[in-house]
Amino acid sequence: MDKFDKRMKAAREDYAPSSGFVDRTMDEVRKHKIHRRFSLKVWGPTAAGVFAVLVIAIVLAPKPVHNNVVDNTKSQSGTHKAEKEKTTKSPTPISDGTDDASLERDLGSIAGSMSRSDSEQSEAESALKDNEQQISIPTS
Amino acid sequence: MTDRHEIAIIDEVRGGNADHYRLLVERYHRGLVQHLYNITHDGPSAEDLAQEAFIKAYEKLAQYNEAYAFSTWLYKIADNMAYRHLKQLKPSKDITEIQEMIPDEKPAADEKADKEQERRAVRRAVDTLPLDYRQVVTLYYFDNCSYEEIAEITERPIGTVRTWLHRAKDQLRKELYGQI
Repeated sequence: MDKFDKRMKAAREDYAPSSGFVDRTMDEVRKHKIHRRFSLKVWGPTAAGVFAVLVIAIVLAPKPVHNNVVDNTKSQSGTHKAEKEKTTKSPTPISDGTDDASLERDLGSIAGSMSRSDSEQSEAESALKDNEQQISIPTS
Repeated sequence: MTDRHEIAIIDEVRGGNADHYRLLVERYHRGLVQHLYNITHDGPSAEDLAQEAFIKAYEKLAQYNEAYAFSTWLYKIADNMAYRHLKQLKPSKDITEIQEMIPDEKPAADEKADKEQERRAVRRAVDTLPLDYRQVVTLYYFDNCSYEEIAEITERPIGTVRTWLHRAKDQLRKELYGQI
């Protein structure tokens, strides 16, 4: 400890509390209660605040308009129909030389090959049935 | 009184036995009043603040974390009250009150008077510090707290406590050695 520290510590002035301090303090302490950690007094205002914020959020939340819902469902059914038609009909080319046109052609060829494979499969199935009929030997 | 004994007393008080709190008041009241007197330089104010600190600590006993010493927690509550009390004092009144308490005196031949003058000069210099520095200096020099205890009471890192104490010492040296 250097000279400065000694000088500082020496400057401490002693003060003793008056007699009866403990009794007076205990008299005051008995008038008060321990705040419980989850008491209503502690958490009540917080819960009330959270509840108020939720109510305001629900009241101010944007509500969906009824007409839009109906229109959306109509348009959805319309688009669904259009998609169905696309898979059955071959797509009409947009124009030559564009990426979209080539994509359309590719999709069309895929759809065509799918329909061809379907017809091949049905032919194979019918051929199989014919074979089964030939193979089955009537028992005497 | 060991820490385990203290924790047992606190549990009893939490359980509803308020009379056991007297044991804690009896143990800490002298040191707490002295500590608050070091801050306020006023005996009645120090006692009032100490009483309020004990009451508040009792009310908040459910929130007390046993990882820390009860004395540290109590001093933290007391310090917050004391420095809030100082901030609420009107600035001009604060200065005049301090000046009245620590008047300038002519040097006396008596050794006791010299010591008293020295003490007043140091306290006057400490009162010129910002509140944060003043708190750290008071805890370190007048309450003999360690850096760790000061860090817990002030809720600052130990590095910050060391820095503040170092800066406060520089300021005090200028204030004290500038007068001589």
